[in-house]
Amino acid sequence: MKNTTRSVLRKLMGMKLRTIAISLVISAAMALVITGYYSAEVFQYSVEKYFEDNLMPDVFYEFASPINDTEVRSRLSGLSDVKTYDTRLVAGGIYTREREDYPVVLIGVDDPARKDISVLSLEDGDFYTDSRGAVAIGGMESFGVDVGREVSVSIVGRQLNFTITGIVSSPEYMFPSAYGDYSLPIGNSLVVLYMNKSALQDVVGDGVNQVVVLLSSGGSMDRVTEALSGYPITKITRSEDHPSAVFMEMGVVKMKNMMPVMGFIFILIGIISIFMTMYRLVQNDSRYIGVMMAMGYDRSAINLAYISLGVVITIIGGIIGTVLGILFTQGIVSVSLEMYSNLKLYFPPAPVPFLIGWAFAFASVMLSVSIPVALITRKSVREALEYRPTTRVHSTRISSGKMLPSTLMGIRNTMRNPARTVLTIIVVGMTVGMAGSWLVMSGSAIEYMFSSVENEKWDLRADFLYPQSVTALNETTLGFDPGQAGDVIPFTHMAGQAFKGEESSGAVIVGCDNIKKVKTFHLREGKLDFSRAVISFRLSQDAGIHAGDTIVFKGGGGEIKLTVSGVVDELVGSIIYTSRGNLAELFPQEMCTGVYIILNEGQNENVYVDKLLDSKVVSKVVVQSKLKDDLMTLLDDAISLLYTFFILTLSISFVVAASAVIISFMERDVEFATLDTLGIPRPRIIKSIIIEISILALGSVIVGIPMAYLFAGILAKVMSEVLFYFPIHLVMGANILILLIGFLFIQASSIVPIRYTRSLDTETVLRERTAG
Amino acid sequence: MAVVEIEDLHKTYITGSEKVHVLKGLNLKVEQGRMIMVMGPSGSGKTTLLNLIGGIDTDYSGKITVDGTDLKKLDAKRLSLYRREKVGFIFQFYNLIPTLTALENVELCMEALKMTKEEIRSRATEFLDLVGLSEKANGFPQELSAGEQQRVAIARALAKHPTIILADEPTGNLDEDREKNVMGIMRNLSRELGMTFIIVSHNPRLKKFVDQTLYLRHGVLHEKESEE
Repeated sequence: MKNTTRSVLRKLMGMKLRTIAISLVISAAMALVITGYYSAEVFQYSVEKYFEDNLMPDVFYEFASPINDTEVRSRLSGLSDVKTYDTRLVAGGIYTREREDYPVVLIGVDDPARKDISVLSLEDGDFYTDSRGAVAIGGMESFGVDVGREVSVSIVGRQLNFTITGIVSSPEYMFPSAYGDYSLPIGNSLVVLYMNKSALQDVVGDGVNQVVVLLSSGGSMDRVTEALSGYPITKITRSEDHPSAVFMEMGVVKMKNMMPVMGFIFILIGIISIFMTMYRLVQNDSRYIGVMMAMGYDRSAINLAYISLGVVITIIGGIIGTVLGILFTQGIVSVSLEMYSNLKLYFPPAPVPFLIGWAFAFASVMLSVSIPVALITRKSVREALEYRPTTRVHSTRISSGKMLPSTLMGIRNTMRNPARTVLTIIVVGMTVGMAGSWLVMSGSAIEYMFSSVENEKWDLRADFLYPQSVTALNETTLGFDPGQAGDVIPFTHMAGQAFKGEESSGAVIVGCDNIKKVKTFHLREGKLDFSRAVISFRLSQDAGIHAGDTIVFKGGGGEIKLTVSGVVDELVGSIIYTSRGNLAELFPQEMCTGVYIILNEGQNENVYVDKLLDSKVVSKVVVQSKLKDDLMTLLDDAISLLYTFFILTLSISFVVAASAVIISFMERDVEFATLDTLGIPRPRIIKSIIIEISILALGSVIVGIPMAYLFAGILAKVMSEVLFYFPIHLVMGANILILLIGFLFIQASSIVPIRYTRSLDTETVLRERTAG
Repeated sequence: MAVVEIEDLHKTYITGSEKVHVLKGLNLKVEQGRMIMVMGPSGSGKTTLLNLIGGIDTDYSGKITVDGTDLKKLDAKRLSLYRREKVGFIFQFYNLIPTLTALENVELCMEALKMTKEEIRSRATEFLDLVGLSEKANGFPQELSAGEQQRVAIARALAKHPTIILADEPTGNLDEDREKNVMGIMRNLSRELGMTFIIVSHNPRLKKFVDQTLYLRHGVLHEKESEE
């Protein structure tokens, strides 16, 4: 090793605190870059591994009414395309606890412990062994659905009592909130029970209404569908269109789009922050560089010495950054997956995110080292020897009034180097803005969701167990005479696939003849002509469909062609609104799958809810006035995730602020030593530091708030492409939180200079720094 | 009456693997109101002696008594109080706080004393006037000349009426004219206010301003410059 390099490296060893500060900035920025790219990989890999290990079926067939179990089995058994299959009876019910109703999906299966298709993994308890037992999908334990508990479910007007023998997870119900219809944001409060099939048949009637198939290698879904022709298929769902897969994909796409944006912003913050730190470090060495030049070392040797310093710092920062990156990834993916299901995390061997992180760290440090070295070595030897970093202190003349000198010192110290202070405030402000953007997004999304819920003009929505005839909507089917309510509007609801040429997307089609009475729409393009089709913005984005386009909707074993008249903002999902008549080729026009109910003024919705629940054909009732509560339940986890991001990102603000202030404070060692010789009490020195950092923190959070809206705008744009559209609003709560918590986090960085001044050896500083 | 009494003072530094015994049984008595100067070559321990008397360095053997207080018996907090009330430091490079004006620098050292804001302001103004800087009271250190900065440092050290003033090369950064001016001010204030000064310097020109000059050689003080 050359002596120049050795000397610079020894210098680095001597300034441990500063080295740690620089390394931490590098590691924090690098960790975010790694997290940005790696979390999507981990998320996708973990979910795919779960699907694979638990043998998610390839195709799901649902039937309008039960079909003969033995017959359907005989049709499938001989097919070489089928590796294995299961026939089930699925029915909806209501579970009531403490006057709250929860929708229930009862799935009657022959053997809950099957290991060859859609494996149920026991998380607690055991599988049931008799007709009074059931296993439940986890997540509803706090609502009384737990091992050993008695659960009473109302189904087709009868009460069924079960003992929960076990809690399970299933690839089909990873995201219970995704189950249902996509068109309404219903809370994550779905009870899914697997029970004895024949026990359910005793209540609902013989037969099965769902067939799940695992295709053999090279097996054709079309041939399976053909084998089932003649049955009243209402829905065919391929595994990739299953809500579990769709939501997983949405999560992956969301992460793949959003996290790198976040990573990019952090690259920017990291580069500025690292540059500030390294620039100062090299500048402080200017006299030493001059000495080396005087001794005849050429620029490349000096550059090499400092590049070695950069390499060491990069390695230290990189190792910490890699570890932090994995930890951040684990945290973020765990919280993300917890929103849906408790999956085991698998870390795929994906080197790219780490390579990007290391390349970023290396490039930033090298740039930050090379520029100041080049600036100094460009000068003549004499100039280099005399070169001193600008340490001129800018003094601000402010009216001191009755302020104590130690207070004034704190205030004026903030602006002793205005350029650096402004840069620090901007950089720290950017990190605060990045953190705050999560709160702004969360607040804006909630506000938008609530306003969207207010677009729903119906009071109650009832979904039927089986399709019902529109003309037979009477006291028997609904539990009340439709004439008593303000309006009863039938709708038909189907899931399938929307195609525009080669492009396609999973979609839900809602056929309703009076949809304008049910819902207020906000048009984005075209016009609201429901005699054709109106689609949601999300579907428009996913499949590139616009007003005037013709689309094909495939579902329930058939297909229809529709012309799109307009595109509307829709909170969740890919939806097509059209008339029931347009669905005639897919679904009998005289039948409907549910009704919207608009009550007359003064009518008590609870009375109608009770009547609907007593009906033998109603499987689910949604109360519009409770949608906001449901939304909050649905969003609880998502909000927790955003708050986790907020705090995580603020910890970066802390690191960036701490590294910026420590550099500034280390230059002031003589001042602190002098204060000690004057016998200034420590609390006054601490007060002065706290005042200085407070002003810095205040400046940063003030800059951080508009930054938060700027970043939230960018992230919301990305979100609109992968999840749903929402505009960014002014969110006062978020502003206050950014102001307060952001301030506290940056203020916390004052612990670094306070500790530094405490550890300062006055005698040594005065001897070494002021000796003549 | 002796304000400063030092008995058998030993101080050892460890530099790498080497032990340097810099003060070897030093004794000193300084009467109140006297201005003494300690001279000696670089590394002889002059600054070390000041730091020990000032309570900055506490690692020594022997006894240092200032105004009846044995420094060895003071903990860090009391040493800080001792410096605040009894010691005034003057440094070669002035060590003024750059973000405070001349007046505020002088006020700073009295901030924690039991004085009202008005008393502090009045005392600081009085001492800036004594060093001839009342017109520059609102100037920041970087707006003042080297001599003016040292005069502010003197005002800062004296304003709180300390028992002793410890000056480390107070004119080391000044030209001859400014040196004369600064030393003249220090001598006059010493006479007028009866303050005790201990000055360390290389500069033989300062001898004429002080009451006594001592020479630090081989870790002890001598009254004569040469060894014979």
